[in-house]
Amino acid sequence: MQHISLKIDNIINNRKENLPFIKKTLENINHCEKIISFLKNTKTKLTIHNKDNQYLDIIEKLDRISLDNFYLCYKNYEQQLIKLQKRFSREEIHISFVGRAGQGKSLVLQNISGLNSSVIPSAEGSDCTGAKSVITNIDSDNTYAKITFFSNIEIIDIINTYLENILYNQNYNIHSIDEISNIPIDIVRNSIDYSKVEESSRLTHLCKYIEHINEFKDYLGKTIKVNEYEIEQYVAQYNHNDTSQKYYKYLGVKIANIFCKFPHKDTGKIVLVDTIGIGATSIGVENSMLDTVENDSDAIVFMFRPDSLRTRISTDEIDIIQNISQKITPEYAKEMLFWVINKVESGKGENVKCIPELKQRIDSEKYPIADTLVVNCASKQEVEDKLLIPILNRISERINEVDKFIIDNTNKLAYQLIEEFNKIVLAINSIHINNYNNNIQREMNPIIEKTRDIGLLNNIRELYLHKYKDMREKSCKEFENAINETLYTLLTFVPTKETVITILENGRNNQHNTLEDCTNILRINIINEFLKLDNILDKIVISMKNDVIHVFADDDKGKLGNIVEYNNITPNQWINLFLEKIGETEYPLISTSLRAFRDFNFSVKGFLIFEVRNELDIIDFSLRKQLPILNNNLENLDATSEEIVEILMDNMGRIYDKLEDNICSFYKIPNRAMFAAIKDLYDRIAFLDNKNVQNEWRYLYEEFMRDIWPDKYENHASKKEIVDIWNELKRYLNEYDENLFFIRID
Amino acid sequence: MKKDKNKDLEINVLMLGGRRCGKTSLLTTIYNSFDTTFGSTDLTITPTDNDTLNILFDKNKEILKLFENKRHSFAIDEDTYLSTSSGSDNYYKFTISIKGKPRGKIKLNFIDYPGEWLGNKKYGSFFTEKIQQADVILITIDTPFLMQKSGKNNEAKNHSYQIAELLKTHLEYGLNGDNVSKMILFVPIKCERYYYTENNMSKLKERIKEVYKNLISHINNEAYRNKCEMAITPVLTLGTIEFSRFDRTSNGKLKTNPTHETFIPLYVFRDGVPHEQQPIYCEQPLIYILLYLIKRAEVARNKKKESRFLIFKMLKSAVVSIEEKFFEMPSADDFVKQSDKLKSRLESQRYGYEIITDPLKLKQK
Repeated sequence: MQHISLKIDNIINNRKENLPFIKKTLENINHCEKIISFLKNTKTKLTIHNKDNQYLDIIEKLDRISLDNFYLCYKNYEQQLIKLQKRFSREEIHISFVGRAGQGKSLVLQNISGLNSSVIPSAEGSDCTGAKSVITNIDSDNTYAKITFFSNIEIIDIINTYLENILYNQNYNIHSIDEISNIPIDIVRNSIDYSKVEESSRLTHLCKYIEHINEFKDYLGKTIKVNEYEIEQYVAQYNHNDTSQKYYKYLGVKIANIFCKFPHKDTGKIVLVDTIGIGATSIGVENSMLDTVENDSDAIVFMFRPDSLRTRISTDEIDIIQNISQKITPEYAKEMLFWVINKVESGKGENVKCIPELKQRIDSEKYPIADTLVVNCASKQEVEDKLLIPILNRISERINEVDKFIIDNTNKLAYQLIEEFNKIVLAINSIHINNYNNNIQREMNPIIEKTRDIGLLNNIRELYLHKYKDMREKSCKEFENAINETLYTLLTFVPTKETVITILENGRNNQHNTLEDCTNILRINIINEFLKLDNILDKIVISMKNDVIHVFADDDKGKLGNIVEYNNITPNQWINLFLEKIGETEYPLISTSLRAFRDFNFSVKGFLIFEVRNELDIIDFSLRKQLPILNNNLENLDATSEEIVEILMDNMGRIYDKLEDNICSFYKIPNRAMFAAIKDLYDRIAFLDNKNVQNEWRYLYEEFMRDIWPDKYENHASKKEIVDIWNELKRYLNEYDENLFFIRID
Repeated sequence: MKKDKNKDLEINVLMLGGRRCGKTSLLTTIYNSFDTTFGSTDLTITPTDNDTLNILFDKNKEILKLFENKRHSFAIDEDTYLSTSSGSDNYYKFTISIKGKPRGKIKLNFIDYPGEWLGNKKYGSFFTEKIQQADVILITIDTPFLMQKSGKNNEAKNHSYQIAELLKTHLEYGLNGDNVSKMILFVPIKCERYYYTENNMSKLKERIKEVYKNLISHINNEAYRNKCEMAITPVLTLGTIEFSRFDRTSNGKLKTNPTHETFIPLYVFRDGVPHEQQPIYCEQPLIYILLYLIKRAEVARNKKKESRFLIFKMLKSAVVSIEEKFFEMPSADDFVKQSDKLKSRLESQRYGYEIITDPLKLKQK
């Protein structure tokens, strides 16, 4: 027997060698699924960018391509690969024990594992196993178990399943663990009449949950480690010595992993999987069994204890065999499903006599089973010799073949997936998206030129032609009013009689000096007053520059406000920010033009002050041929001061008249200056360097098109993105190698 | 022509001009100046009646008072003593005669009217009649109002447009026959500033021609050119006092006369010190009038010699013409003899003078 454990080790190792290929195949098909997801994303993107319905046709075509079949095949194949991966990842060989309740499963497990009925509950002909157990052979004398409990949600689901299968359509559900103990049992019970046997039985089970939830609810969602002597209370329904002592924790146990040293030395790395007896009235027992058979078993042992009074095989047995066969495929069942006839040699249930006939019947029926084993399950030796060793031998001899067969079967699913994938590729290949213009500059060129020529240059032209040109011949009303306001103040500069008296009284001046001193002060005051007009000129300049910058910045004109927003800043600040943003050295001609315009300013000193000064000779004694003659002197201060004021007032009046008469010729000057500034700007931004400045404008608009036409730019970018994505998708689809779908084991 | 020993020649001079623009002062100064200028010649001028004499006396006193002014700048209150604001028309009568010839005088009747009558429809017939009767129309112009502030107060003061329109409307009835029958003199007064300080009388002349251009071009056309003698004859009635400025409030606004919306002109002595009155060119209007009369008569006499038809036409005329009346004067020839002297004194080109239409060729022999 030495060789069995070695063979098992080899099997486990061989399987692990296959794992990378399975993993690779999984990766491959996941990648394939990603390509299909990419297709779905592409469709979503097309829908988002389909503002002008330019992709409508493509979207409709894509809508007609069904991905459902692909995903069905994909999920199926992926699931199989994951199962395969799990199978080949096992560290042991799994043997599952199935059968109706009371067929001797637990007895066999006790005999193989060496565990007694305190760990593996068994009672003659009764339903004593409460939870699924997995018994693992370990190389240690210390027996223990890891008990894994259901989660809260799983328990709630179990309770709701009971409720649904008792009350059917009455739509009563619970949503939390705490609600379980509050389920109105009497009401539920009263809703069932005596004809409903199954429902009544389910209610009994449900009542166990309701009454005993508090015994295990604290364990839910946990895994605990317990020693050998404690195991029973988690897996059995009652104490094996005293059946009156009931256990209920098993209700919350999902699986009990028991670890112990099997007495047979050459058993090797095997795991025994006990399932709850079929026929138990607990819900989901059969499904749970089939699930274990499919996903957690290398070999399946179907336990059957015939009744001596009834030698025929019942529908129950046939159903179980068939269900298992369907689940794992008949071919697999033929290799690894063992029908064990539990031979009871004496006592209650003795059945020795009927066994030969029964075995013959089974053998003749060609059931999808590997072998029929007749075993006295109460005999440890027989269990070893007639059950364990033949099964292990079979496994060690045939499992590789079985694995291969499973791989082949799995690969068959790949063909279905390829077929569906190819259908999609074919459909996608028949769809064409127009190529986009790779050069956005070229595409935007007409818009850029229109903005430059019409939006910017022509609007500046319109500004000087229609607003500032005609204004040249008109008075600048603001300036005119300001000048008039200035003139109005002139006479107020003439000192009062009292002031003059004060000057005369200080003794330093005679009447002639006083008069001259007054004229000196008057001249300064007048000039100062006229210099204040610069404030108005500043405003006029800013207003004109504002007109111009609006043409530059406004969205219906030059659009350059999209580069630097023209809001709450002065025109000059805008120009500075704009120059900074575009980089002055990048656009030398534009920069020169804008700087010249920015620096444009003009003041009264440039054109008015010297004209005003020209009219002040009368109060400038250094320029007068004849000085005014005063008829009074210091002896009569009152008369002298009055005379001085009168002279000053008369002189100032004459200055006033002259200024008023002559100054009107200056009213137009601000308007002319404004026109000149705009015209100069236009000449520069339109004609500088043999019109090369216009190329600079084009480059500038090109550079900042993303800021200026974000929608158009985005649209172009998205068009490019769509086409790129589409081409990429096609490339992925067409370049995908069919061979990648298969598990290729070297 | 048979001379009437007692016959004098009466000439009607209609004085047009704005209210208080200095018409009486002008008359006073014309009178004084003519006497001064021609005192040593054979010509002499006297007020015809006592009323005129009194007015001239009072006005002269008032003018002289101006020169006693101690203020630096001052207003000149015009026509204070005259009754032009009393609501009726006034006649100032002067007699020009040849010394030693008591018979055959030229009587100049200056007709003045209240300024308010201008533009008043009620007095339409007054002006129609006076314009038709007038031999000479003398348009006095208060020069500062014409020249200053771009003339924006000119209409309020000088009524230039109204006067021009009035003349354009009524002259048609006043220009009789083919002969010259009217003289129009533009007489700008208070021109001292433009004559002395600014030394720019030609600017004044151009300004008059610009402001009255509609009237001038109306007369200067084919129909009237040969019937109307027209000239600009500036006079300086004060000489040493010149316009300084229009009075202003302390905030620089121009003050206005509340009833007539005219600015208030202020005057100063030209060099800041009071001087006596030094009128110049004030005799010129009278020289123009006399020469006009003499020339007109001479031309008529010459024509008479040239064409019987013309004489016939003249004789046929119901109204006895000035030309005829002139030569009926016993002193007619004496006046004619003065014409050279008058011509030699006549200003016609300098100092803002210009003869605009000159059918009689005043300066020619």
